[in-house]
Amino acid sequence: MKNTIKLERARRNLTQAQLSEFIQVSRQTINAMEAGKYVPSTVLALKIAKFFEMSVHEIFELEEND
Amino acid sequence: MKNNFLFPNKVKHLGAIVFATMVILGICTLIFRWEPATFNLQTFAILSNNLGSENHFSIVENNLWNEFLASGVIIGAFLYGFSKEKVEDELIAAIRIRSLVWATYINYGILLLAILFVYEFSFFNVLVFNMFTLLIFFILRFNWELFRLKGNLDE
Repeated sequence: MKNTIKLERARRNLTQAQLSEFIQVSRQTINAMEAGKYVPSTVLALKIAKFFEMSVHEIFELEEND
Repeated sequence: MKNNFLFPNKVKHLGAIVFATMVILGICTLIFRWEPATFNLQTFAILSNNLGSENHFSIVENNLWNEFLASGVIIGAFLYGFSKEKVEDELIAAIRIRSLVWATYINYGILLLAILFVYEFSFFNVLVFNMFTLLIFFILRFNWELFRLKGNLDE
């Protein structure tokens, strides 16, 4: 699964720490998601979308092998 | 967050100290065959069968040093391995589960080999170690994965 977390974060000039505080995960988790090494749960995906005030579909996208 | 059967983060360091101390004492005890005489005590036993005698629910005399060490290793390992991290999020939970699965495979893989290739009294030693190896393999793997996760952050 692809995501645009890093892009959206950069666009808003926010740090990993600020995002991690809002969605209550560690900075490592943000880092792992941005690197595509970790696929978040639905709850976490929804929280991220809420943070960016976007829909989940705009941030997360399925890849061919998913 | 749902109940995840973990101890609070506060006890993690205590667990680490207890675990490390007991493991070191345990290894020394195995090497030097040392049992402090002060631990020779009368104790309650549900079962205490010896060659030729059977005892149920009786008071027996025993050196409780082994019991003290074994309980200490187990309690220490649980407090250390099953305490929440500072931020116990879903990635940590996933790593925890993955490490536990890995440790179970390794533990029983080694036990299987030992069952097939270790005989007589030597096998008794295998059983002694096997009481703790699942927890020890889990702790090693889990902390290694956490270490790698934190390492990735600085890249």
